[in-house]
Amino acid sequence: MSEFTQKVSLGRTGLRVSRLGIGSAYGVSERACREAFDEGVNYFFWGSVRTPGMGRAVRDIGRLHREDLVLVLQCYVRWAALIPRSVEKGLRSLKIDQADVLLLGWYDRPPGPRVLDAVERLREQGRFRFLGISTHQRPLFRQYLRDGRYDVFHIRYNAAHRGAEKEVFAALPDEGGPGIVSFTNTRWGDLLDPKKMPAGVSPPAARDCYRFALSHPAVHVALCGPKNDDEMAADLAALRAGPMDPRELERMHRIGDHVHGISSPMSFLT
Amino acid sequence: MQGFSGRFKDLVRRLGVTLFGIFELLGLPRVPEKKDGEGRGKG
Repeated sequence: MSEFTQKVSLGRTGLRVSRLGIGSAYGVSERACREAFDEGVNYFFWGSVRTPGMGRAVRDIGRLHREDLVLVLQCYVRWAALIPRSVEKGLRSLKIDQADVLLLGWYDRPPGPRVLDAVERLREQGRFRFLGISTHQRPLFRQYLRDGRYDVFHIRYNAAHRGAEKEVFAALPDEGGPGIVSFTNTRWGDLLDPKKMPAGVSPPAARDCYRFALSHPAVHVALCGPKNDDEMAADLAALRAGPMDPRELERMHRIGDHVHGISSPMSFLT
Repeated sequence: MQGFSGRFKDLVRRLGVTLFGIFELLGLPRVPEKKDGEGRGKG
C-alpha cells in the first residue's frame, strides 16, 4: 500500500478519485479497464478518440457501480448549437445519463458566450455535474482560474514539460481550487524512449512518469493511455510504488531537461 | 502578430479539433453491444 492507492478529493468538486485515470484513445481492453476498476481506478476519460473496449467497460461499471465511477466526457465541438448533440451522443454511447465532468477540450482561446450558454443549459438539464477545461496554452489557465466557472483543469505536465509548476500550480489557492489532472505524462512516449535519453542513462518506466506527475502536491490524477493489458498493468504499478523520493525526482528532472531539447512531432501542435 | 509558422500550426490545430468534433457528433467509433455471455461483469 502507498498513499497513491488512496482516493483523493478532486479539488472543489469533492469527487473521490483514484490517482490514476484511464484515457479512451489508445485501445485499452474492456478486461483491463475492469481489472483496473477492481484495483480502485475510477477516473475514466471518454475523450474525443474513443475505443470500444473502454466504452464497453464503462457501460458495465456504470450499470453496476455508478456511484463509484467518475466519468469525464470530453467535447471538442465548437458550434454551440451542436454541443448538446455531441454530449448526448457521448452519454448514449456509454448508456449513462449524466457525466460527472464535462471537459471542454483544447480551448487555446477562451470559450465564447454561446458555447458557455449551451453548456450551462446542459448542466441545468442534468447532463453533467462539473465543468472542466483543457488547453495547451498554459498561461490561459490563470484566466480560467479567475473566471471561476471551471472545476477541473486537464493540464499537460511531465518531467520534460514542467512549466505548469510556475505558470499554473503556483497560482492555485490552498483550498477550494479546481481538480488538477495531468496528461501527456510520458511526453507522447519520448520519456520512455532509450534513444532519447542522455548518454549512459536508462529510460524511466511508464509508472515512473505517472509517479513523477503525482508526486507534485497540486496534481490529483495522472491520466494514462494504455494500449493493451500489459501496459495497463505496468501503469497500475505507479499506484503501488507511491511518491518519488528526492533522488528519483532529480533523475527525472535530468532526463526531462534532456528530452525537452528534442523536438517531437506532437510538440508541433502545442 | 503570428508568423506564417504560428498561423499554420493554428490552422492544423483547428482542423484537428474540428475533425474530432465531427467524430463526436457522428458517435464514432461505435461501441458494439456485447454478445450473450461475453465479458460478464463481476457485479
